[in-house]
Amino acid sequence: MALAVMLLNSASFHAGCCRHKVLLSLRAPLLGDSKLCSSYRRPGAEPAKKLSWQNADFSFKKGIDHLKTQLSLLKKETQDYLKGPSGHQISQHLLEQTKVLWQFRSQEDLNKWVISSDVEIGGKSKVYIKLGRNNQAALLYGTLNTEAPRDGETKYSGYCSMRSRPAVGSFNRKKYYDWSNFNTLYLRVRGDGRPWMVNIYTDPYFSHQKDDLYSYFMFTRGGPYWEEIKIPFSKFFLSSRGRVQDNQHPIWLDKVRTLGFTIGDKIDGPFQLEIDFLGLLNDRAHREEFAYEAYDKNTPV
Amino acid sequence: MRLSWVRALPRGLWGSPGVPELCRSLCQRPARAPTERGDTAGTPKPRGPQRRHPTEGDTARGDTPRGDGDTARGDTPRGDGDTARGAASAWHRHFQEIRDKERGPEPRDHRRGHLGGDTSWGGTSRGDTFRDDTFKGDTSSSPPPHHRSHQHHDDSHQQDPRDGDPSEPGSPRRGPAAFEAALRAMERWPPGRGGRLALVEAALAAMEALGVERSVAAYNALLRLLPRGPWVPRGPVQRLLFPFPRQQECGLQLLEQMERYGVIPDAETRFLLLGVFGPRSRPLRKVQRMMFWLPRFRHLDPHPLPPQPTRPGLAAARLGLHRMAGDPGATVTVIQPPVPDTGDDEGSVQPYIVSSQSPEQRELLAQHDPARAVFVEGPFPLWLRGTLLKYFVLRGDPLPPHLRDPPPDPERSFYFPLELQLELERGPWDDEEFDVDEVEEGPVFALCVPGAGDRRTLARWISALQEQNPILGRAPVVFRLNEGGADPREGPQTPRLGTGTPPGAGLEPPEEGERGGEPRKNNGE
Repeated sequence: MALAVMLLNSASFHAGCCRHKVLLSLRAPLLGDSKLCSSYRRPGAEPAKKLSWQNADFSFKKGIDHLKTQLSLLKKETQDYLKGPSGHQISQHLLEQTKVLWQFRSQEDLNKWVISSDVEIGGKSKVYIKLGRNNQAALLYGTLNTEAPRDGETKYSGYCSMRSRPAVGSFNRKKYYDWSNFNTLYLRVRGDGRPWMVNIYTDPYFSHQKDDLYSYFMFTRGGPYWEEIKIPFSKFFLSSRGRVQDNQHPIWLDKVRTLGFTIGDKIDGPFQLEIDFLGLLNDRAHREEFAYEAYDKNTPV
Repeated sequence: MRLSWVRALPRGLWGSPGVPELCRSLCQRPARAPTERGDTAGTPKPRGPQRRHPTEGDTARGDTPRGDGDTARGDTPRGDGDTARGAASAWHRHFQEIRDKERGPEPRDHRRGHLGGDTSWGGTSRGDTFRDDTFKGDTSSSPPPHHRSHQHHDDSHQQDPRDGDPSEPGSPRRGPAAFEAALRAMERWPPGRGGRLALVEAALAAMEALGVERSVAAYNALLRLLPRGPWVPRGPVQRLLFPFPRQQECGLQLLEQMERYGVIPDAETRFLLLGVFGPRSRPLRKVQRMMFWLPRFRHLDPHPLPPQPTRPGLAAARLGLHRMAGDPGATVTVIQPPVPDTGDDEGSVQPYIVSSQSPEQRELLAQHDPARAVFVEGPFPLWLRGTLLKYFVLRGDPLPPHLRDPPPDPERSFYFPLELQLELERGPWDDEEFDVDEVEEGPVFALCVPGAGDRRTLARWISALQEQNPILGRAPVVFRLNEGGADPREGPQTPRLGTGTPPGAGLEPPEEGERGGEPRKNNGE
């Protein structure tokens, strides 16, 4: 009886939050892990035409080509390794105060990002990305629609997001970004007044923490002028499956996998965000280590 | 679940000795109010009579004979309600009527048999919701004014507020007052476990339409209707076994709605929840978290807007322009007031034009070469927390490289340098510039938020600007308006989903007549 009650409870408690399912379905394609996709097909999802292992093509020529590209990547990686940390001279690595991570000047820069919206769970928001005027910035635009999909369990909907593709090394190995020399994220954007959420995913060691995301808000002012937004990493709080966690700790910057922007401010209507570039800054005036208290918050009431 | 055998266990196992007594003494269980017809609603024991079961099943027809006394009252709402939204539950309809007719609610009974247990979270058993053994007033004596069909209550919860007519715009006090009156009336009704849950759910769904979704007082009033004491688990053993799941979910749903609207719970909310659910319960933990995080997130916006929502119109245009202009010295002028002035059709005869220009922008415009064109671009969107404004920009194109000023000739001055580039022993550790090509855009000369985005209005704006900037009379003004806004064609770029590798960010094909930029840029006109 107790077990039945527990099962019922867990089923009903999760019903209110659609984000965890969203995160599951979002991250599966991103990290190429098909185990995370369940067999239930959500209303907005495309039917799975081919299983991932059926896509394997065993032609010899393709195999040789693939091997060649991977070997060249490996060669480049070795050269970078010999040059210094992350491919730069060690003096540059140690002394640099700023670093440009992503800039949007061409279509390849856009290809390093993936856009998604609540269409995955059956919602109706639309999101597109294109190069802005004169190929000088990326324009992320679309329409947010908060109408929840009628599948009986989702209560809220309406989000769009843009996430960077995780870096992949030779032979499809995971590559991480090391941002430990910096303490601020620098964004040059021009929004339309809507608030966004910036999420950083650091690949965790334990799979239990695979939904962990460090998030913070980005408030745009709107208007014709570019805005330079600086977000210190000490402000990022830990959340998992859309819920802010009780045990907070500052983000570990040495193994960052992806950065993402999400809009979900519950207002129906068009949105747009122009991004010039994203970079890192070592702000020496910022001395804060962590903005939130790390002590135990689940004290007896 | 009352595990009375737990009391036989050693006392330490069922919690500290004071806890249940403490909770009960903190908030007395309210006396059971008698129903309208004075039946013995207070006796918990006797199960409902058999005739309830057939009436539970087929609802509308079964009770009509008993509802004769109330047919007059019952028919009219039923007529409206059924035709318009026949599937909503009686609770929702009740709130509906409050909204529509703005009178005090008549005390109504309703059937809780279906409503209490099955919520929209499908697939749950009703093992934990008690059958209405306590609530038998409905069957025999109390008036069931309208007996509506309850078959589709499952999906009614979300649809009702949107179906209903919005509360009157001109009565900001009536919404909260009507809500309070409804709650007070419902307080009098006999308590029963399922009923309170349905009430809370219906009230939560109706809050938005009544306009009280952002007031803590409304949520506290709603919490006061929940029974204090019976839902407190006795001891750690019961607490371990997920006590009162439906009830705790109801509390959590209330708190979720508060979180969604950004309402920070106060000490009274916490106290009420403590009385209803006991310490260390899920709703109380959630309130702890909300009271920790929401105040921290409340004031993060570096460009905050006034807390009251801005209605679209002249005031919003002014606010938007103040926000967009980078200069606090920018002057915002109303070039053309709206006709009519206020109300819903503000500006329907003549749209308003509000313009903003700062002294710097005026100087830049004065330095602009009159042989080159200035461009009116737009409309661009600006959101003011729920209100969308469209603004237009008067700007010029950046100069092509061959027309820019050359660097000053160092031989112009032999006694002191005109330009200094000193290294001052600075190395890369002091370099805070980003190694990226800067985005080249022309200077912005003025901003404008018109009531309507057609060329006549914008031409009126330009002629008004001409008074302070005579150069506009000589320079050609080109209108680069994209009538569709920045919206794309509804096209093939829908983001694809989680099977296989997702495509890269799709590039929207360039649109003709869009922000006009590429073909006409740098023509050197």
